Formats: sequence, structure tokens, C-alpha cells
Amino acid sequence: MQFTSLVFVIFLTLTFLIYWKLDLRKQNIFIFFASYVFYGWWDYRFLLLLFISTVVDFYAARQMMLYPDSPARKRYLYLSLAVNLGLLGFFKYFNFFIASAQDFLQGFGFSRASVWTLNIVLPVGISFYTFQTLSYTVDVYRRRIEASRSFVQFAAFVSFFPQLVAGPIERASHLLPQFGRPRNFDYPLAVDGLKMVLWGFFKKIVIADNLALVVNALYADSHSASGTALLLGTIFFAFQIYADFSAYSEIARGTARLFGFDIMRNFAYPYFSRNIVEFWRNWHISLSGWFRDYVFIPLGGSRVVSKTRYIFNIIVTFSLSGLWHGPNWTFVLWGFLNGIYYVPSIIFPNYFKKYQLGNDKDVARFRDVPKIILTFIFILLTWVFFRSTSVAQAWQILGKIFSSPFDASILTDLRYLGSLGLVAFLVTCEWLSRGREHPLEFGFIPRPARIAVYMAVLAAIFFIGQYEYIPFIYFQF
Amino acid sequence: MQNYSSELKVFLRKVAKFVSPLILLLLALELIGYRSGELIPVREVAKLQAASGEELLYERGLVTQGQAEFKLIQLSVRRPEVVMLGSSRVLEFRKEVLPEMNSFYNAGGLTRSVEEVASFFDTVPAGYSPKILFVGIDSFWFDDKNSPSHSNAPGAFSDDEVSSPEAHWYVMRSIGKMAFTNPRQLWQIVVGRDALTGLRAIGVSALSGSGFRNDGSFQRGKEIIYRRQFPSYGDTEVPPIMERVLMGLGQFPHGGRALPERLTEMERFLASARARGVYVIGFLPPYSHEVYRELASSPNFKNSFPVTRAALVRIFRESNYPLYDFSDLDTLNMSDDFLFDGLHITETGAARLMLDMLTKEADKIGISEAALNKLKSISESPETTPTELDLR
Repeated sequence: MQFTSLVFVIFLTLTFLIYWKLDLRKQNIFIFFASYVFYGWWDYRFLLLLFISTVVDFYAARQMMLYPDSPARKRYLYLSLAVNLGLLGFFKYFNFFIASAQDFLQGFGFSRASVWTLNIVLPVGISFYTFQTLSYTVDVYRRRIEASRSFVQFAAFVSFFPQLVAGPIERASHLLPQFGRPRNFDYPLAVDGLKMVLWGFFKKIVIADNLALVVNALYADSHSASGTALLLGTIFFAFQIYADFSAYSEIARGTARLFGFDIMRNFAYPYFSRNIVEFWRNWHISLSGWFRDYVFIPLGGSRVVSKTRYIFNIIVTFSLSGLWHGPNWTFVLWGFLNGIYYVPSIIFPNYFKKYQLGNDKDVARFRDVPKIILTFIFILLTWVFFRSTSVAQAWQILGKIFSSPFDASILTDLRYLGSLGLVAFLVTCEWLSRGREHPLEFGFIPRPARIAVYMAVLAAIFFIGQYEYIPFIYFQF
Repeated sequence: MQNYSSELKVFLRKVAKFVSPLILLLLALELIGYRSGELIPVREVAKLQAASGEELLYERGLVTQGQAEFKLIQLSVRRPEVVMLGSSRVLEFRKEVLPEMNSFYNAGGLTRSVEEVASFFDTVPAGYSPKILFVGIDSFWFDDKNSPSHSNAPGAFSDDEVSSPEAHWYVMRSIGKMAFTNPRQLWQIVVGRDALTGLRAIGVSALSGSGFRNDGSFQRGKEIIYRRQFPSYGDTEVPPIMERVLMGLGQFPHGGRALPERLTEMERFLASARARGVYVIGFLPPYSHEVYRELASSPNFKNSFPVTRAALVRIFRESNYPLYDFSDLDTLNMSDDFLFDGLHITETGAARLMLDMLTKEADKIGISEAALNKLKSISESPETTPTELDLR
């Protein structure tokens, strides 16, 4: 069930109306039930995987609590890791590793035809919910949280429909206790949630999906597109993926608020970052935090004997985060490149220190624009790898961007001009609201003006929106 | 169950207050969409046209139409005795040019390839066969470089697009935009009459005067209005047919050859017709003079066009069915003014073709002298132009 569909609007309305009629215990059962309906709408067969992951992790965590000092504790952690990573590995990476092995062996003269692959369909959202449940069992193992005693609460936490399919990847320590607390309807929270949903719809349907048409056309035919058009297409992709993914996160957060839940912020105006460190503090925050806590720190993190080891840890972490996005070397290279970008912050820590502290009040100012643009250019290069279907295509596009002469025809092409207009509008809105959570958070302006803005946003969604079926990009991950 | 809190009730009231006008607006747009005819299912349109004493004009402009499906439904609803079969090139044959043939339906557009003609009897409802079948044959159907088409094969029809919520949403948005960009068209939708003849229009394109009449023929409103201003021939297709022929584009690839398998398909079709007791009258619709000259004499078509024509003459002769070759407009001493473009004939041109065929077939299909004279008088009326017939 796509967020930006009529079915979801009906589903959300009904779920909301029923939910607030129920007491806490029934609310949790109802969320569990509604979330399975939501997820089963794509393909009911994958509900089984979700259920297996839920049961195994609930059981493993409970067993860890029962045997606090026994070596069995570790075995249950391994069980959880094996099941979740096994599901992920099989459904997402099996063919990738087979194909990569094929390529490797072929380099030594082995026949390609002798190895087989499977026709596997990727269950939507599997990367998200397996990571969320993994973090739960690891945290129980590390004794950071207690294992949930209620299967219903835990199952509702794992399957919570607003963030089930594309995050934010919540921590059990933050979200799970909310299922155990009584929830009262909070008017300001719900109103803000609706505004977030509205802004998310706008970003997805108006910005991201319109940009998608231009980007898809350019990347599908990168051989005949000019270097200038490809550069522009990559800029558009940078904003498409941002608008697409942050829209999902905002709709997820807004929807959760309607039900009295608070889920973490996933994007904090990342393109206004003044360096890479700040960018990664503001981009896909929940995933960055996950990799920091469950990969980077176990590798030794920054508290290692040498800077070389620190750099190694960073690059491995980023490369794995790239691989998390999909079974393609383009994603690994995307992650690797971001890891490389991080290296200056390790070598010159003092310069980057203030951006690592997580000071939310420290928003970008106009004088920071050159740094913001420079950071954006670095990030832009990585998006070429992310969007390309193969490493060869990425190199071909980069080659064209850096070697082709300026193509003046783009200046008169309405598709590009319209897309530039959308990007400029998004950037302006977000720049003006960068000190707030989202651009529609403006209680300070008079009510009629607010209503006029909401109507304008709705009109834009209705008239300028793109209604071809374009799934959220992160569904594929 | 617990009662909603007062806060929640306030919230629901406010949301309802905010959303109600929007829902009403969407409902109004949906109603206008229905009024425009865009959201009326094809099957319902077919029934309306078959049953209605009033002439209706049908052509969607926003939602995909499903032309072949529309024609097939019409055939199954009406079960006419006389049917016109072929591509868009036969669509200008209207019931008035077939006097005394009250049970006529122009199914042009249902068959756009020889494969589709051959499967005609498998496509129509079981047990139904017309008595007389006019078949307009396009020479390029037989060219090996043109892909075969089976879009009207049984089971090939997809659902009518209006059944999807996306189509309703699209129509609502388009009509909403019209309020700002073309309010006149919005008013036309409310009035619901076509711009050429004032018929009740079903579909946004029908408003401009272009659409299928009750008899299945196509009223080319836009072109007729244009011709009233500029009567001389000018190819309105994009790209023009002559350009396609010269460049080898579209239906006219260079260096093709008449494919024997496709000619066999035509033989198969005629044999099926014979087995069902259907009388087939075949004809090759005309091309403009320059297009015909190029097709007939250019080395680019030497293995396709002339070979196809000769083969069809033989096939029809062997099947004891008549074939009229109107490829060359000079056959009936007509000028290019009787065409809208390089390959689509006008209604007057169609009337002339029909008069020629009926005159020669009168005995076999039982048509009276009076009927032929009536058609002749329509065709030669001083009020009749090369584009429009005087049907008063």
C-alpha cells in the first residue's frame, strides 16, 4: 500500500477512527493487525517472513533474559543474527554474491554458465524491519534494554505500519516503550502530524515524482544525453531522492503522531550541510546511527590505537551501508566514496568538531553558502554511482559530465526549466524553515494565511502532481 | 470501546470542516467528468448508441478509448447484417451511403491487420455472422517489414480504463485544470453538444466534433471545420503520408515484400466467410495521387505494393468474391480533395466508392434502382462538397 494512494488515505482514516475507540491493549492488537493488512497489501506471502523475524527475535530476547549469565545467551543472539541476516542475505543478496563469484571465477578462466542463480523477489521493506529487530536483540544482549514481555507489543513495534517499509529504522529503546504506555490523543501533536503528512505528499508527488520523469529518461539513455544534461539530471536526482525519501519519513512521522507515537527524525535539511560530517549527521539519520552503533563501534570505532585503523573502520562502515542499499557494486562504491570523504575529518578533527556535536541550534547561515555548495558537489558525485545501473554506466556518465562541452539547448528545454523551478522552490522553502522541523510548522502566521498555504499545497498536489505509479525509491532497499 | 475525547472530537470536527469543501469539489469534478462522457464505460456507450433514437457522438479525449473493444461490443449488441471491416481508412462509410441496408454497422478500427481480419469470425460472438461484409484492405498489411497485430484476438482486450480510480483522478484533474486554462471547454462539457453538428457528445474529443456516430462511422469534425475554411487538399497527418512513403517510415518501410503467409491468412478468411455463407466485398481504399504513384512505381515498394495488389486480385477471384481496387483515385476520376490526407478518404469520397461497388453488386446483394439513384443524387448534389455530403 503506497502512502500516496487513495487506498492508504482510506486505510489511514478508518484505522485512525477505530484506533482511538480502543483501550491500550486493544490498540496494540489493532496496530499489529492493521500493520499486517498494510504490509500484506503488497504481497501477503511476505507476511510470513515478517512474522518469522518477529517470533524469532521475541523468543531469542526472552531467552537471553532467562539465562543472564549463561553462554546460551550468545547462542540466542547468534540465532537472531542468523535468522535476520539469513533472510536478508537470501532474499536480497543471494544472486549478487553468486554473480560476483561468477565474475571472480571467470577472471581465472572458469566457465560462467556453470553457476546458477534464483529468481527471487525482494520482499518490500525487508532491510528495514530486519535491522530494526536486530538492533532489539543486540541491545537486549548488551543489556541496554530489557526484553519485551508482551508479544503483542513487540509485534506491533516490529510491524508498526508508518515506518515498516522504509523506516526510520527505530531503536527499541525509543519506540518499544511507547507501546507499553497509555496513549492519549494529543491535539497539537496530531495537527502537526497532519501537516507533516501534507508536506510529505507534496514532496513526493509534486517534487520527487516530477523530477523522476526527467532523471529516469536521462539515465535510461545516458549514451545519447549530453554531459550538461547528465549533470543536470544528477542534480535533479539528488533532489529527487531527497524529496522522495524524506517525504516517506515525514509521512511516517506524521502518521505515527496521529496515533500518539513519536518516531525519530530521519532527515534534517541535509543539503544545507557545510561538510560531509554534518551531511551524515542530517541524512538518513536512523541508518547512520544504526551503522555507527552496530558496525562502526563494534569494529573499534574511533577509540583505536591508530588513525589508520579509524579510517579503516569508517570506510568499512560506509561501504557496508552502501551494500545495505542494494546488491550492486554501484552502492558499495557510493558508500566507499562517502567513507573516503570522511577521512579529512579524522585527520583534521578540530575543524569538524563542532559539526559532530549535534548542535541543532547551529543552522546554516547565508555566509555558509559556499561551503554548502562545495559539500553538495562532493555528494553529487556519489549520487552518480547510486543512480547508475552499473559501475560502467557511472564512469560513462562521469566521463561525459567532465569532458563534454556545454550544451546550450538545455536552457530552452521546458522539462529542465520546470524541474529547476521545482528544485528552486524546494530549496527556498526548506532554507526559510531550516530552524524548524518542516516548512508547514508555522504557527506564528495568521490562521487565514495558514489555510491559504495549505490550500495552495493541496492545489499543487492536485494540479502539478505526477500520478504515474512511481514507488518510493527506498522501497527497493 | 471508549468514547472519543473532547480533544479528538474537536480535531475530527476541524478536519471535517477543512476537508468537506475539498470533497465536494472533487465530487463536482467527478460529476462533470461523467457528464463529459469520459467516465462512461465503453460498454455503456455501446448500449446507449445501439438503443438510442438520438444520434450520439463518442470519442474520449482524456481516458484511453479501447476502439477495437468498443466496435466489438457494438457488434455483439447489434448483430448487424451488413458490416464494414477495415482500418481507420474505412471509417467514413456512414449508413446514409448504404441505402436500404438498415442493419449496417461500420466496424472500422476493429481490424488493423490481415491477422485481425482473419480472426474476425473467432472474435465476434459465437453464432453471429453478418450477411454482407465489406472489407477495406490495406496493402501494407502484407508487408513483411510491418509487425503482425493480434490486438483483437479473443482475450486480448484489457479492462476498460474508466474502471480504475487512476482514470477518475486523471479526469478530475484535467477538468479542474480546464477551469483555469480553458473555461470555454468546461462550458461545452456542461452543454454537451458537438461543435460541428450539435450531436450529443460523449467524451471530450467528441465536443470538438470528432467521434463515432451511432452507425460506427467516424465524424472527422476538426478536419471538416478546417476544410470549410481551406477547401483544397492538404495532408493533415503528422508526419504527412507522402513523407512517410518517401522516408520509409511508419506503415511504409522500404524494401519490404508481400509475405505469402499473410496472403494465406486472407485466403483463410475468405474460406471461413464462404463456410458461413457471408458475402464478402473486398476493396482497396485509395491513396492520394502522389502517394499512389510512389507506391506503384518506386523501387522501394516493387516487391510489396504491386505484388500484394496482384495477389489479392487472384485470391478474391479464386474465392469467387469481388475485389475493387480503388488504390488509384483516377479509377473513379476523383481528385485529392476527396481525401483528408494521403490515405484517409472523405465521406463524399466514400460515397463515390460505395456507389461504384453497389452499382456493380446490386443484383447479388439485392439493392434497388431507387436506392442507387438516391445515393447518386446525394453524391452529386450541388450542396455536396468533396468533404461533406448533402444529407438533407
